[in-house]
Amino acid sequence: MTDERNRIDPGAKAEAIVTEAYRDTTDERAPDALNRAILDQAARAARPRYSRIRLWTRPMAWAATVMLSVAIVMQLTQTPVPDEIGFDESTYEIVAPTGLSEARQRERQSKASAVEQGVVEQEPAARAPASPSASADKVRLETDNNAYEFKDEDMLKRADDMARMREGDIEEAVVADDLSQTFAADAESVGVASTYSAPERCDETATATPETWLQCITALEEAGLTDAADAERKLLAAAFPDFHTP
Amino acid sequence: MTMVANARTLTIGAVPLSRAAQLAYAPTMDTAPEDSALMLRYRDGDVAAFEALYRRHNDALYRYLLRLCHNRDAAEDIFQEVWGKIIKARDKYRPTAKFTTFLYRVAHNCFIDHIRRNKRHTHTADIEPDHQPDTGDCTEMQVERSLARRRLLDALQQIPDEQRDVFLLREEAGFSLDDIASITGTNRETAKSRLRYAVNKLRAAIDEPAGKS
Repeated sequence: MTDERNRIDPGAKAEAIVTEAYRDTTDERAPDALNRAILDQAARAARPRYSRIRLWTRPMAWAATVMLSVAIVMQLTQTPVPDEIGFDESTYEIVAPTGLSEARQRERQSKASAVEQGVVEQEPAARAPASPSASADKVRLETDNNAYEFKDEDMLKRADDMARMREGDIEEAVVADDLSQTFAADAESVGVASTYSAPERCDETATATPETWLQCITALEEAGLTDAADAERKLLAAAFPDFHTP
Repeated sequence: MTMVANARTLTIGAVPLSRAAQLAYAPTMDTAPEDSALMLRYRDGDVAAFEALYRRHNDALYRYLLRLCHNRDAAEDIFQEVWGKIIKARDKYRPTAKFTTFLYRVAHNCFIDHIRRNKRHTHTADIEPDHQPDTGDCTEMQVERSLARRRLLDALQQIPDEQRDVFLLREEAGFSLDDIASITGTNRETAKSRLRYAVNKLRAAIDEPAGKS
């Protein structure tokens, strides 16, 4: 340091004089009160912030976290995939179709009731296809109830197609028996019976005169209901023996 | 220092301690531990180490601040603020530089902050320049020394803050020009120039009565 001071030229000697003079002024000392305050502050700061028990919480938390992570990873790595636990097609056949069948049953029942209620609002021409559809649903419901289980949706669609193919065979029987009577009764109950002409018979309005009765019979024949037309023709001959029918 | 350097290598488990840590925990025979070693021991909870460190530097730092501020209350406030920061910084302390450099850099920055907080920083000296105890020997030489002392302290108040800062860092802490440049945030030549100006002014102030007479 002395060498360095001597390099400060031209005042190396001047600096030595000033330094010597300054040394006489270095009797000033920090007040004791200030010293005590700072040392107390240092002692307070050096105290442990946490108790001995608290010091163990952090490593314990880390250990618990590591243990849980390892356990989760081991659980995930050791869990077998579905192929390894015997999930084969037989299981699928037993479980899945039953659920589908029940769901479809509820769906079809709601559809059938909707169709039955909606028939009264439709025209006769538009109503005719609705009845076979409802009957087809009915047939499908019966097949479902007979525990005919489908393996998948494709088979279900195929069954629906087969049911539609059989609609032609069962259409007359279903329409002639229950549904048409029910529809007619429902139509009468809502006051639209005049717009609906039952295909198998002529009503009182049609049978009031032989001419209108004959028109009704002709309409039955045009609709293809020849048996009903023949029956009405016999009734017409009996009611009006003098009326000459063509 | 030689005894400490020759001490056997201290370890924690199989890991050898750094040199500073070895100095901190090495048995002290006839050599006082380094400042950084004391600071490391205080970091680890040794309050006695801090007290030793404090006793080593408190008076010089106090005089540095007192003569830099010319105000005893401000100097004491800054003094307490500086040591408070040292205490708070103990956990982050790394012995990468000399402790005194670290200490006086903090003090210098606190003084700058003090000036900025008090824009009307004035040189109102509220300290009595001559606190020399009266020994009763009123010889001519003692009178002359007392007068020189007063003139020096008066002149110290008159020189610019930057020059006074450099001079006090040199005289109170014994820093080299490089250390002074590092603490004040300047380069070496600037520090050297400021020191030269300060010394010349103070020398002129000391010699003034002699020149007149």
